[in-house]
Amino acid sequence: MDEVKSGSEIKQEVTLTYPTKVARKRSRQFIVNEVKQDEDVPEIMANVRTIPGVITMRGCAYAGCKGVVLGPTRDVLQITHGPIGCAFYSWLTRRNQTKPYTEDAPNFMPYALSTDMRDENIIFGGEKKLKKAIEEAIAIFHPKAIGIFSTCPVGLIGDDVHAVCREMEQKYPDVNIFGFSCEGYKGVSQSAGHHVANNKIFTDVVGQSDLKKNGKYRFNLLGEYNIGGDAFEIERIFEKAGLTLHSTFSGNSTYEEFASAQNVDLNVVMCHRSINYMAEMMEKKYGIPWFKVSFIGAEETAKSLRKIAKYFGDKELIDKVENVIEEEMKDVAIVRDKIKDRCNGKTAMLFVGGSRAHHYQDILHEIGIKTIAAGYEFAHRDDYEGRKILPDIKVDADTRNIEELTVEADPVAYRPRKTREELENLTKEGIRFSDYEGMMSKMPNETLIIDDLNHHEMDFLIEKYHPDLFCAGIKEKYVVQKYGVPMKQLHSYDYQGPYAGFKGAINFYNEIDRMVNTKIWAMIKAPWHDEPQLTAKYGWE
Amino acid sequence: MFDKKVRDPYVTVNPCRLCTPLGASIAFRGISKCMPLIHGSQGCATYIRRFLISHFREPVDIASSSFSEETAIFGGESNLMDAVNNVILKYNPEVIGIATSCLTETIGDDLKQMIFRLKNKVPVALIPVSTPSFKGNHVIGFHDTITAVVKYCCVEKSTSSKVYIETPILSATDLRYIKTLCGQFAIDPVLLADYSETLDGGVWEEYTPIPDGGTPVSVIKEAASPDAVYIDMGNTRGKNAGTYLRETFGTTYCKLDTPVGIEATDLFLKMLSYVSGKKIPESIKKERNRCIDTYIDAHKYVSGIRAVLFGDEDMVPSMAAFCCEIGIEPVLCASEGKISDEIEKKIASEKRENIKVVEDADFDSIEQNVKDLKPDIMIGTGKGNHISIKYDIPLVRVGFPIHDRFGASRILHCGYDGAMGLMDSIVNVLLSRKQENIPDGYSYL
Repeated sequence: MDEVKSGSEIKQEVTLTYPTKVARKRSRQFIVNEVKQDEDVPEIMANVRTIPGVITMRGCAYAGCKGVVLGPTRDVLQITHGPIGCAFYSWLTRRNQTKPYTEDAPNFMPYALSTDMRDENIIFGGEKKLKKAIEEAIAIFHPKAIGIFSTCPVGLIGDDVHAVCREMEQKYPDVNIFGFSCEGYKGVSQSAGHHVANNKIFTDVVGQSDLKKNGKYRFNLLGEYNIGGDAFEIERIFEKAGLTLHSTFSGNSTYEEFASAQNVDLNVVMCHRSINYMAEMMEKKYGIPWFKVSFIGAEETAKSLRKIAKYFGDKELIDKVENVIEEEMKDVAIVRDKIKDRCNGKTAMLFVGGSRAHHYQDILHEIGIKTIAAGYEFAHRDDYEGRKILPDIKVDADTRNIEELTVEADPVAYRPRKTREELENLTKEGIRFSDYEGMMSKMPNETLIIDDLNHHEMDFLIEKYHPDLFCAGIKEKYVVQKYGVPMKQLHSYDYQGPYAGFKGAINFYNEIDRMVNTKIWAMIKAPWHDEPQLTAKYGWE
Repeated sequence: MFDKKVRDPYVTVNPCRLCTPLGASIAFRGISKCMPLIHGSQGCATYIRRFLISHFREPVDIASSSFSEETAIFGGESNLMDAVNNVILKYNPEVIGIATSCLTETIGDDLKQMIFRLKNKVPVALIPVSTPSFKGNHVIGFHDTITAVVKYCCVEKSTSSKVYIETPILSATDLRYIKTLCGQFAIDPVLLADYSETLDGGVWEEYTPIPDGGTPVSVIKEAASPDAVYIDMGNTRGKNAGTYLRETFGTTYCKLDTPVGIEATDLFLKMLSYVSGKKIPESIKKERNRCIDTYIDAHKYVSGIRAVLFGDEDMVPSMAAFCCEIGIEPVLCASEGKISDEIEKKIASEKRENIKVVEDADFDSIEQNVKDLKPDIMIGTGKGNHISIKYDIPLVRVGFPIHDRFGASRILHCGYDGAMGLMDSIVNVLLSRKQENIPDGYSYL
């Protein structure tokens, strides 16, 4: 390991390796943190195009739309319109789990459907094949809803997917059929696909059903995708606390729950990046307030539960939530304290997602691990600097290409859930409605914040800092491990989990303990590494 | 003749094929100091990376020209230039293998012209290959890329007498094993493509921008020689690297089965013996003997067992031949690619009667067949796991991709050793099934 240098020195060294134009761009995405009063932090450049040829962590709009936002919904039949690759790669790739309410309830998640376009479809158009595909799919699966996801060639050859959807909907009035223009070249990352998905679900699905779940405290959880069973643990806690989770966007969810999502009194947002559009639009149209929560880390889980209880304001609920927290925290504390002894003071780097790089700092902090560098793959400035900078964000051409819906209060369905006074009081008590403070204001000064980290920079950081733990995705996993640094995947959780909620926190502590304290790292250097001539004694001498 | 079914052409349910640039990426990874670059949206590179990484459990870097909407409209030349320059700057490769994507093929980006304009400005070899996924699959992408590399490299006649082997997509262990076999005949083979080290390496002592290993371009150039031998394994393809070399430079071209099972391995060894002028070494004879012994010991377990085979068009015919050799009936051979001619060639006609061959298959059509055929065992890629679980039929994993089991790159399919290993896996799966169904679980089976 090199001598530890200051953040600014590291930044300078990295940018020196680039040609001037690239260096200028990267230096605005590579920030040394400095938190001032009122959560003011330095400006970071985010949500801008990736430099071609650097090996990026980012995916495409299709991945964000089909893979991330819609993927975890079990009974919307999803057909990928395009050549085969995209459908194959999004087939059970993310580890979102689901559990149908009954055994015979539909679950289409194990299926990847594609129109498998061939050259004649590219030349003569794929609409006819798409129509036939929809008909076949309806005959096989009898779904309530079908989503069509466009891949790159579809937008280029000009297939009118939305017209096909309308036509097929007329033919099959019982099936809600809607299309997503999520061609891979749109936007700069998967973030564009999140927005496309939010828009379509909002216009074509939310409000289509009037299902009301029983319960006094009804709310939606937005931006939770049930990776590794996170949603099951969160649902367990809600149920224990007497809260009614109406619908999750979109972990362990159903079409019917999406369609009736307006029948709640509160939206709470986990992943701000992928779903804030939905929270905002539902607030405008239906009058449902929203605030940010996190269920990663036992402390954050407790905090979020208290916030929800405070919002509903019933003494009975507040007490029940406190009981749940107290009871669950007993088990958490036993494991946490034991593991903290072994992990305290270790360092971590997190480069993942649009919210996880923030959320997981909290849970690592609980076992004494410090985050020394963090960044997102596809977040925007507000996810770094907080929503207060939203008015300052310059909308570039890539963002403008994604439709921004104009939403107004619904003349019938709009109903304020709280009076202005009530909201003001809650705000005074610390609930920040329609707000997210971002990642940077919570991080210490001098830590590094890097947007859209690329492969070369990652190698650089590892060589300079040799952190005790690196968190990113599978694309980074094996490179990091080649350096002998433990690497935790935070997209798929290394096929483990859940990590959310109280039981999830215990899982995570144990997992990190296992990773950073395993013997393997010490065995990397062979005994003959430094002195080729081995000196040893026979056991019986 | 056998029953050949083609499924409904409109909706593909659970596809059996992967996209063409994925095959190209594997092939480029087998070229020394080569960085693959996919010309298109960055999603293509990202999806392919995550897919290959989870099979090989190794770093797989693939660059992208990162198209935006604007690039898709105005063409990708400046993005490609940026990408090439940045790759050179950061990774210092000797070769950049550029595969097209559906996007760039649809907008008609003229990659050859772009590279023509670019090639004198950069100090590396730029090898383009056309890989639209609306034409072909990963296997075709793999072999087309080898053809593109050979055509790029072999322009001047050489005098070498090297042995070149173009393999199907095999495991890293297979590639190493083939090299060892050749070594026993004092042949130092040139594999196309050799990803045995690049996609199955150890820990690093220092930063390694491009993993060591792979076949150097300078060695591929020497295939342009009448004294060189080009062995082409797997499914027969019309125009390919080998036929190009034969027609242009008079290279000896030889079409061989992939050495899976005893008969195919016998042929491969005869070939090596012929090329090297050396006798079959004793150690290999002993290996064959052990393999025969294994077949004899195991035949009571496998004889008459009915198997469903699925996978790519290179693997399925080889596996079908292997199954017939050991007495397993391959009641269904399914692949997305063309396999019926190859199966017809490999399997004696009286055995073919009971074999159903499905081309252009997806897993839905395989599932329908599994339901009807009620096989004892499935042999294929990891993607068949859903059918295996649903119908409670054991699955022996072979080929590519395998994401749901550990050690995919260590599965040995080739040679006598490979045949013994496959036999062990198959028999043990059958035995464990048998044991589960015996209430008091005998210890000797």
